Amino acid sequence: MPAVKNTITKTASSHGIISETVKNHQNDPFVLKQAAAAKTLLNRPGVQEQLKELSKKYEEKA
Amino acid sequence: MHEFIKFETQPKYVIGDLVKMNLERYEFFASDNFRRYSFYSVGPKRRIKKTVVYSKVQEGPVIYNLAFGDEDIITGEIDDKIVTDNEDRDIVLATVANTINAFIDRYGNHFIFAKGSTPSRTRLYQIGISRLINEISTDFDVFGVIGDKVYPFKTNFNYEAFLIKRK
Repeated sequence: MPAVKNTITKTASSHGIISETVKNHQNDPFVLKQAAAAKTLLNRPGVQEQLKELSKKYEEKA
Repeated sequence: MHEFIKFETQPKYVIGDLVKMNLERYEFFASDNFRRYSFYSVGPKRRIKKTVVYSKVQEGPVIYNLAFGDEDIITGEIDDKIVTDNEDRDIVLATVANTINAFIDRYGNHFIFAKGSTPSRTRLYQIGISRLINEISTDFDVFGVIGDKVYPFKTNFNYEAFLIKRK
């Protein structure tokens, strides 16, 4: 099936879902665990240095 | 035939004009603060609720973690270890990518960090990104992390995590 630009080809309503209330809570144990793992990896010294450099490049580009 | 489920009314999110990706995706719903997004994967076996949550993990540069998994409809808890095999991997990935656009529209063009909860799950992300990289890269720059280095994403490399930045 060819993709269509910016078009939702699979709608929720076509499966009997009219609309949905999405909960706001950020304290899901899975979310907290994932965030902690992200922090650990991002805190590697080389990663931080490169991210700062990359960030600068994007700022200059903007 | 799926049963009819009536939820409380909430406007659906409409993707802005900045999106260039040309991929089939699911319609998704956003929380009031636009940090949590849900959609339904519909396959031959069943319908599965998928949820994406963005949480800030650092300042300077600001980075948000993207947590993604199946949401238990009863408890609301998310788990990314379930193998659903709903034969719609590309549509699911494209939908997640579109939530990034929706999130960035609200919170600014910050780096988005993504990592599976296990190496095999991260590998699945990598395979998915590799398959759709030509389309994804029209909207985003994708980077991979190996050890303490960040590299521009290339197929056939095993990364520990991914960083995404809208162009």
